[in-house]
Amino acid sequence: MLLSKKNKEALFNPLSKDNPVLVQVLGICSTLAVTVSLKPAIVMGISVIAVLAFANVIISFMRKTIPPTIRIIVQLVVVAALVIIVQQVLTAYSYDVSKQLSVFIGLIITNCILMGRLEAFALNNRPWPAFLDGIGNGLGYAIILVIVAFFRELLGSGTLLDYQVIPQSFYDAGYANNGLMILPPMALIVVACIVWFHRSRNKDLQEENN
Amino acid sequence: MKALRKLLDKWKPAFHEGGKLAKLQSVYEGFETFLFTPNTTSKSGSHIHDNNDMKRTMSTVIVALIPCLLFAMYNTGLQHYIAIGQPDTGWFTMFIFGLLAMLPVIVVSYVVGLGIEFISAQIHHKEIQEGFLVTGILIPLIVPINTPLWMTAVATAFAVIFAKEVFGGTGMNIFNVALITRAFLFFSYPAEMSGDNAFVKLDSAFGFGAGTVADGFSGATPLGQVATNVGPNLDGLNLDTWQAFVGTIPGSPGETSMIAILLGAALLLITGIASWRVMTSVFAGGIVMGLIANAFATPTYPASMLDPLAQLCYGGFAFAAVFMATDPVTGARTHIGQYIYGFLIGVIAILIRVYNGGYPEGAMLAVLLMNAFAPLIDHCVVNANIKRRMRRLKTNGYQEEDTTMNKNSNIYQIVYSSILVIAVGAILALVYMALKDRQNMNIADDSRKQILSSIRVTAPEGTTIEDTFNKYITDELLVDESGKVVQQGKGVAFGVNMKKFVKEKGKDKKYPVFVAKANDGTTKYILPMYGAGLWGPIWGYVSVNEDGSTIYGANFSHQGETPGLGARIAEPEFQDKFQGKELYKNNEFKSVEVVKKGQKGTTGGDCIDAISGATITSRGVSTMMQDCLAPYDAFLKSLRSETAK
Repeated sequence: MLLSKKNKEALFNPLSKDNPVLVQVLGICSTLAVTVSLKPAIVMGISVIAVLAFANVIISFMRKTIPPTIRIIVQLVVVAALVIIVQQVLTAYSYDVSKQLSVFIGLIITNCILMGRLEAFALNNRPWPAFLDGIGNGLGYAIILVIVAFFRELLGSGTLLDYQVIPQSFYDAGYANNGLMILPPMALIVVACIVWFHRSRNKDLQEENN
Repeated sequence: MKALRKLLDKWKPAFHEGGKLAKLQSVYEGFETFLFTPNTTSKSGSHIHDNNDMKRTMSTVIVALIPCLLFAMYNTGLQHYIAIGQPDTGWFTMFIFGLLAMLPVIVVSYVVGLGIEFISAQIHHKEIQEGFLVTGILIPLIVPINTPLWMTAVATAFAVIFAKEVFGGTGMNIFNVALITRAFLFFSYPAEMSGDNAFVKLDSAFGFGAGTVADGFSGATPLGQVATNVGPNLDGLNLDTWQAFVGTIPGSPGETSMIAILLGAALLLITGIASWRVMTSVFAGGIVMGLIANAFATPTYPASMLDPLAQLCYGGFAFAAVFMATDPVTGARTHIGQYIYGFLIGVIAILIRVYNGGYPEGAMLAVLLMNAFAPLIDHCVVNANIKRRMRRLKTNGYQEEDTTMNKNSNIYQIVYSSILVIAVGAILALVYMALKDRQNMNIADDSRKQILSSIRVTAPEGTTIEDTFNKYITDELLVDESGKVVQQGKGVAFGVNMKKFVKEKGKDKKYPVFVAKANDGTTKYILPMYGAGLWGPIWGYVSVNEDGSTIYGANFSHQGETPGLGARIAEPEFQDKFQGKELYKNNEFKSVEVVKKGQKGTTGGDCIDAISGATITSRGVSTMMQDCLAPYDAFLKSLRSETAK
């Protein structure tokens, strides 16, 4: 019962076939902002999974009481409260990461994945499927974040998780880190390349050519 | 010619369907149409026939670029021989040197660009278009001559794939491909693409023109010099508008000579290839913005002190106006749109050049920005036209119906939101209370870490930062401007909020000092600093030896300087350079200046090499040290006299 077919879909579809970044094209802003290196990307991914799962559950519990005209505001308040809690916890237990993420944690509030999933799923579903949907979409988002951050950190800084990966002999031979990779536009292009690759692999996602 | 035709005809069957090399059909066709006019005609639909096909258009642009190309080769040689101290070398030798220097760039640009076009045409079974012929020659003209070839190759590949092929190839691109190549280089490898050494080739080309660089030579472009000027006027700089008009100045190869550019412009306008509307309005925009900037000239923005005419002659402005803005594919197409498009390019180019400290030249960015807006401009022009015609027809639009708001119970909503807000507020307050202590500790530990780093100490594993801090920092003081200690004791200096402190005015300010016992056993005095970088605040700590002058260590942090450039002030590589520098020369406070590599400071004190490409941030460090350390003059002097005893 806990993992019926429908629930499985809620959990696993967002990983690839219904990926929030690649297919729903949600959460692009934060994908640009936090993917300069792997560490903040992973932390952001985990934070979004947590916030999205709990926001989904809370909204799902409240779904029958929420007045439809102010539902967006209610969703915002719930998300904002969760985000502030995440921020406080990070400042208390992982200060360096919170310093790096300072602005971006706040950005979770405006992360379209959250509003998108709350509107599309949590408002019409029971808490348990909503929780799975939150975990699934959060994971789908986190995976893309990590892939993008992998390329950006490797090519932009020559490191992975702050460990030097590209040997010094390369630099001595005239190789230089690509500064554009550190700037946000390159994140868009990397995401576009992933979308390109993803669609060419999934025939049913390709639009008809007219 | 006939033999060639026969050869092509002989090979033809092999490349067509069923032939051995059918897969390479588009390559064959590409070469065939490049050499001969195709004799096939379209069979369906109606077509307008014109002798001026794409091939002829492209060829005309290339012919128009020849003056620039030839002059670029001569000037590359000229700048090289000036750099190695032999300015009297014959012009022909200079030309040959420039030819040898530019040839590899041209080859790389064409091989990479055409290679990708050929492959892409094969994959999509399309004809090869002539689009890259012009781009391929533009790239060597706008990429600084010292750019490593592999970087040019990567940038060209990036531009052709992401600016052109993904949009559908020639004629479908949104952005100018050559400028994307340059923008990619500019943002990817800023250290190689800006600064004094990017624009003049200093080493030999294939062993030709070898020599050592003359002492005191600076290859800074006029705009580069202007951007980093600090004085109240530009008198001290080596600027000559006439030289810039002729083109014998350092710069990207093709952009220096106004004369060569104008020759090309004349050809483009006479043949009608380029739009005179775009071209003239770019110059008009540049002059207008130049006049405005000049009318409000201030030393804060040194480039505003240039007169409008000089603005047009320096940098890549003219080249961009004639060859980049007029690209028919990426520009506006409606006539009114072309005026707006061109004018805004001119305005924005000068705007960026004058008011954005990070970029001494804005022509490239202006064209790319307006490329993005060209379709919107056209859309607005077309729509305005449609509206005007509609009004003439006196057709009335439909009237919008009043929609009555569907009111839910207001009381319910108000009560609901109140409860929600109170509940959420209570939870947040609880979380904050629970975590407050840990958070403040972390923030304080971060400052402690920076302070310790300035005396070259990092907290060892297994100990808390606070313990290490207490072990090393023996005392904290507040001193006044006469050098007297007015307060002493734990936490008095640490409690000072530097952000607020630097804004305070008044004579009776009390300046914080940390006294530390460093690992070498001597006492160090740590002075905090706070100032402004390029994008936001920068701050730091500098530790001084007992003699009150020698810097033992320094630590800098920043809020949001450019990664890879200004942000490097937070790296040990930059901070370690301060060790051993003297704040005093001949018993006079001089601070430590951060200046461009190879240059001398203005105060006569010790100097540090600036981070190349991060002039403003480096200067911010310099100013911060001067401003924040000067009030300690009396205190440091008292230290000096004590040690003298």
